[in-house]
Amino acid sequence: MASKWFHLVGFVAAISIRLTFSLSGASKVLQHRVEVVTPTNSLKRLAEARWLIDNGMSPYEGWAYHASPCYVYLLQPVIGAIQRQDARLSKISGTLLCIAADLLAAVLLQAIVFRACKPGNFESASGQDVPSCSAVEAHGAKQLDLTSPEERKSAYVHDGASGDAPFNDLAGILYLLNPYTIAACIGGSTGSIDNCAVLLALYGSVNGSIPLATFGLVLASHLTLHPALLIVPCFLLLHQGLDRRKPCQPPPASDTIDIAPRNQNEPPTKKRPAMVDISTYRESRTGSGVILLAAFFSIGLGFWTVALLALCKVLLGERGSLLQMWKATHGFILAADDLTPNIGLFWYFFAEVFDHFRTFFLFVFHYLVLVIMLPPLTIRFHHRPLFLAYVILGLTSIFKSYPSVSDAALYLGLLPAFARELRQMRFVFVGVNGLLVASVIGPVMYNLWIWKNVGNANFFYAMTLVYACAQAVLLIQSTAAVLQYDKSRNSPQDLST
Amino acid sequence: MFAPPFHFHWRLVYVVLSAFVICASTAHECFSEELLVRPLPGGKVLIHFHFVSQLGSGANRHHKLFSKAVDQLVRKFSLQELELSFTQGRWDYTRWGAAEGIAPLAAKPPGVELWSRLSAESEAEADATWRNLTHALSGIFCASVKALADPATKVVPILSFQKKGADWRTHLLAAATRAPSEGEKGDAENECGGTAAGRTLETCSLGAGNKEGIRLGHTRYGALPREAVCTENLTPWLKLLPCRDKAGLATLLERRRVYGGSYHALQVHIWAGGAPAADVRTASASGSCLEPATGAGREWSGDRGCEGASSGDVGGRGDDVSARARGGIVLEQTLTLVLDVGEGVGIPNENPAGGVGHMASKQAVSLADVFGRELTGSCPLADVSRIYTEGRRVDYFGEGFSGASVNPQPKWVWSAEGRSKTLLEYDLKRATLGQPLNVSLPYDGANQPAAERAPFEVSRFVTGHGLERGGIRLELTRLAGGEGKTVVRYFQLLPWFIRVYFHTLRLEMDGRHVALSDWTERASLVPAKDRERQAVMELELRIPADVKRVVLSMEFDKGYLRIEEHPPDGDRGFDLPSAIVTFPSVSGGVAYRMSDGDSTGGDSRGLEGRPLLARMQADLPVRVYTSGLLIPLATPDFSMPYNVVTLTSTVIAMIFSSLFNTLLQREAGKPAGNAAPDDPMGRDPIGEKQRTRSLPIATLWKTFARLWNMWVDLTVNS
Amino acid sequence: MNISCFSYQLTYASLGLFLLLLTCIDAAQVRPSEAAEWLGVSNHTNNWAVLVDTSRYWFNYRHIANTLSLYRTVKRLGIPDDHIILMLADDMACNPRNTYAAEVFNNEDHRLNLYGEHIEVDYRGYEVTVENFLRVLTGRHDPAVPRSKRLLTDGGSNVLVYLTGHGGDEFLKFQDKEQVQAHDLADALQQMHQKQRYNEMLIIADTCQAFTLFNQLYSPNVVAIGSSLKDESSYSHHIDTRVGVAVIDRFTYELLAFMEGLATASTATLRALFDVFRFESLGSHVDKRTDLLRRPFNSVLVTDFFGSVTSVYQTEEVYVL
Repeated sequence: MASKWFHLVGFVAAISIRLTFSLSGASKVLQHRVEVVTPTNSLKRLAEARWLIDNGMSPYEGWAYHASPCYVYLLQPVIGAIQRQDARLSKISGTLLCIAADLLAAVLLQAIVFRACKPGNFESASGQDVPSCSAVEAHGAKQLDLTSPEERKSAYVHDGASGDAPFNDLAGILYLLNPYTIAACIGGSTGSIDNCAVLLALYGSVNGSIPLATFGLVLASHLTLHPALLIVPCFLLLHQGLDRRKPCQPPPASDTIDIAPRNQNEPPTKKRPAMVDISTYRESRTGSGVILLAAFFSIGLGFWTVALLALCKVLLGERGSLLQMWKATHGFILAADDLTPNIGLFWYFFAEVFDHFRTFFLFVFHYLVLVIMLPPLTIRFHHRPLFLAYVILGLTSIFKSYPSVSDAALYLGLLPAFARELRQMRFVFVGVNGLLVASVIGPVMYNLWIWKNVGNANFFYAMTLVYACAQAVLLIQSTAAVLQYDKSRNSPQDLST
Repeated sequence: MFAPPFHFHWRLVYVVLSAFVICASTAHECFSEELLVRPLPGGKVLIHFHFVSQLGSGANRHHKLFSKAVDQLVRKFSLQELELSFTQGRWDYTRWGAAEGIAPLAAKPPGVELWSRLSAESEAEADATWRNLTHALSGIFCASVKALADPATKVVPILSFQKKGADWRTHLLAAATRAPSEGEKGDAENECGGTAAGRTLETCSLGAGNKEGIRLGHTRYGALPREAVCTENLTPWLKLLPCRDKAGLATLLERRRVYGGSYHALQVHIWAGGAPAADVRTASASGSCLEPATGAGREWSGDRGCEGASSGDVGGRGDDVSARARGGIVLEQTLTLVLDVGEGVGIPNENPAGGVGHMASKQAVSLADVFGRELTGSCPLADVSRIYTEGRRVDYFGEGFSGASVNPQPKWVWSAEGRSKTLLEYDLKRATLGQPLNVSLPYDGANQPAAERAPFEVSRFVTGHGLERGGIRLELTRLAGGEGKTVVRYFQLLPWFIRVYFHTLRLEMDGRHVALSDWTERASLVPAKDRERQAVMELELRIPADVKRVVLSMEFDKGYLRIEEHPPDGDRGFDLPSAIVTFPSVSGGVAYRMSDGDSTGGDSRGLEGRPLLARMQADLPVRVYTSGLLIPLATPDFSMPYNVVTLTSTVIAMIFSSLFNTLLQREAGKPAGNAAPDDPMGRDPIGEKQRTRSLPIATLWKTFARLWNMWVDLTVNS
Repeated sequence: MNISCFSYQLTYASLGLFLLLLTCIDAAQVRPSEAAEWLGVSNHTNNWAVLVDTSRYWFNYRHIANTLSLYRTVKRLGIPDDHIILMLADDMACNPRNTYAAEVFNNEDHRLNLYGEHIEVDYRGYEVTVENFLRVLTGRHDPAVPRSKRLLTDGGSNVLVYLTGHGGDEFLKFQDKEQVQAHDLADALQQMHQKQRYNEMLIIADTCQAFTLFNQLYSPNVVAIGSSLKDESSYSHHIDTRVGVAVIDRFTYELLAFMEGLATASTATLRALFDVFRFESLGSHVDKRTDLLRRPFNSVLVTDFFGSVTSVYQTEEVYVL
């Protein structure tokens, strides 16, 4: 329903907002905000790394830099401007780069969401003929003796036309206009680029392109560690396509309903099977297909990993080793040694925990994310890989060692893909207001602690807890909503949307 | 009771005794004590005690004069050189000078400063030795020097504190300072191999793994600006002296006066491993032991010591140690005090034109006035015991003093070359025993000679506010005597939690921003590593002759410490050690020439036997220590460890439990049937609509399930 | 008849002899130290003192003055500096707030300068921590720690431990950051007992609720004196208006007043010392724990802990080096 012009206007608006804010000096303010800039994505530390390289040292020599070496070379114009402390230029150059990243991310996101919410037609975006669950169709068709495509089409309940998904066209615009995204863009962090990499991975998976998906995954994991958890949803996306309401299986024979006959005279003999999910998905591979896919997937991951590490080695040269790089990037994220306040849960916990428990709790925090969170979600949502990706992104945004608002922007940007399912979501008011409170009062509390010296760290810490709880409320309620949606859709009595 | 039967036994005894005496006179242990008194403007007087003990070569374990503790220290830790100072108060460079004889010796940063050059096989061994050394020093001097043992305080200075004459290894980390055409300099003098671009900190460190490491030594530096200095530091320092504070010059040290002054610096210097370095003294090595000088590098190899103990290897550690032990040890202890000039003098008025409270000018001040005690004699164990008073010649021998100036008569009179200063020397060894020696000096409050200052006035301070970030700014202002002086060396160390951004280093000359690389001769900028090492900045700047004001600034972020890393008074903040600004083009030595004096007696007319004068004459580096900085850091709430752990764990637990509760909702494999219309979630935890209610236990289960749902609703969804 | 009488006498005599023999045998089993204990004489061979002040900041001047008063006392009564471990958590004498440089007073008449001219402080400032205190007691140090900071006691040492600062129910606060608890102290003392690091120990605490710190002691030969009971505070004695803060606590003031009258060879007993403390002047009840002591408390001399054993042997020969 949204036309191309609408998109264009939206993009222009987004660009102009960012430029306006950055030119007016918001960058200078935001680059010091701990919610936006963390030790892993700060551009100022990137400038420091560039300086170290210029002076013959490894970028990981000191305390400053904990991100990829690729940034140091690819973001040269930005850094040069920062280093020269040329105020005007440095304001803009960083912003321009992040604007480009944001636009790309918006485009990718739009493509993903659009693909996810595609109305029930049998053509994929690439124009190839994507068969619906053919086994079911065949089975059902045999049962009902439906022969014509029209009949076949009408025999199945579609998941609704695009009119029921009002936001899939606006996903990109909403992402661009999200205040979190704007803050991450103009605030002197590399969050926009990290998001771009994650969306690249998802886009590749959604479109069934193994090379692109693996490239995105490896790149995103290299930039920050936690997107590595998206291996599972990406694989599932490649394996079986986008979300389905339930696993594709033939409906039980008993679950049939009568079809009103075409003419009044005929008895209602034709039955049509219970509702089957036919939103666009790929025919799932079975048996050897899975193994082949897994093999290609691993090969892709391996290839891109080796390529990326080779690139890093070339970039580092003789200054540093890959081990040093790993210790400073992924090792740093895992060890969480730097206790700079951020919007996450780690910093204050590990500032206050007793020394002899430090390793234990570090292990527990990461273990929770990896083992306790991932498998149950995968089991429960293996038929909804895109939603699984969304939940994983949301939970990592809460439980990362150095989260920032760009992580929140990312999974909030994916919300339009599930607009139908989340329509019945409860406690939205609580969650959104919690986010608002944390976003507004958090900086105030931080100011009281750091600048006015009248409060103490607990004030800001409380806001981080509120932020975590608000995000958790939103995520868990969306989980519940989706489960409820699936349950209600899958019951044969309930045919209306 | 001892009745030798034969005569020649007595002769043997005489021979042996005289051998002892001769040995004693050619004793390999010497001790000298000197005192310098100089008036300072503002109603103050500078007192500088200078004690030198020397131990010759030989592996003797029995010492007559030399402190056994220091000998053990040198042997055990393979020290080549050590400098330790305890200072209270700030040296006022404006009034008390920086660039002449005593100021380079006397000015030290507040707190504790320790610097040492160690002989070690590797960096790791040097670190271990440093650690043990700081512990040992903290035991000897009753101070918390062992705080420097923390690896996070590790500092390896590269440009500064090196032995004079050693190659200046340049870790040229600012490749941009050299134009590409001068590629040779980037590759030169690099014992690490490779070009400037190929070095990392681990691979290239002075003395690491190369055979010259032992010769050059591993240098370590540390400073504790917060350390208190009080009587308990003086007590063990005095114990290193042969006469302690029972006889000699140290008897003057009345503790209240010593610690009630404006400045107090207690220093220990140890030189070991061969002859003292050329810039220290040869005069004292020769003269104070009453032996003719045989040149620098005098080895005591033939002398095995009077007591005849066998030397052999010292600790069995091998040739290196015994070689070092063969070289002898020099221990120099100095105490510098700036005290108010007696009581009743009043507050001096700097304005000689008058005003209320104008101090009586032109009066004589004696040591008894200053210390409240009288000097009764010299230390019997000292070979040399002298007092010098310094002032203007006209004050001593001119008109205007009512006979109170020079009493008693000095032994010698020295003049400083190029300056109008006069030094009167009193030899306590010649003083009449039993009669108190009260040396006085004229004090002219209105006409104090201007202090010889450094070429630049140095000021360092912190900019910004708040607990998140700040900046450091160093300002150098050229002074009247500083024309033509162009080279400035800056040494600064910062703890790891002061996260300084090197790319924000800015240089301004006379208000104009200039590129730092254009004006840097040499640089060594070592970034800090969290909890592992400090940031060390060493810069050598070349300043054009016409520039009056230079400003060096940088930005830093304040780090966040764990709760146990904060000191008990965590809200006070952390003190940063003083930065050191050195002016290599200025020499701090003052040459004294004898101009008058008693021609009788056998004293030499040179600097032999006057280690303090020899020291003042040497080419001393002119250093200015900036003031320390106090930086408050953001503190976590110290009372909350349990609370924080509990709160965060509760939040995490609640999140996960709600998540699981949602995930584990009973999957509607079967049709939900008659779901209750008021439950949009369609939750049916026990499937009550499917089952019969025959079992009474089902009621209990049902109640529990209802309560659980209520709890989840209340906690997650409220 | 005679024979029967004689036989009765013989029986009684032999019985008596037999009993006497038994007693002798029994007595022979008694070790000299036990005999000494039974007699009440101490058999220690050297004396050590651990004097700890746990408070910092200027307004806790009195705690440093307390500790220094004890330091002066034990030095005066003969314990040498290298047998004293002095821990001061802050520097008062050269504190910028102190108008009397290098002087610490415990009385407003300023008669005594406690800091003296030859003071040696072993642990100062940030080094006074619970960990260092327990390490000193148990002797478990980093190998690099120098000898002057170690408590080099042996099985014949009598150790005096004096603690002052702010305390509470079964804990003593160190520098406002951490605390040592009664069971920590008790376990440390037990380690000392097992390693034979003391012969007898006297612990004195001048803090609020000081006596609760000794609730958990279980090692033998430990005498403990606390300046106040549970829920009682120990009070300061008086404020010196020229220094500006309180300069001594009441308990230590009374202790010192008693000690000033003693000399090296004094035979005053701890009982006499203990009887000096009265509730009316202190405001708190001083209590002692003597159940762990193996000899009678009334026979313990003050100089067993506050003084030093010095054996002087006179000889007329020349000592050949």
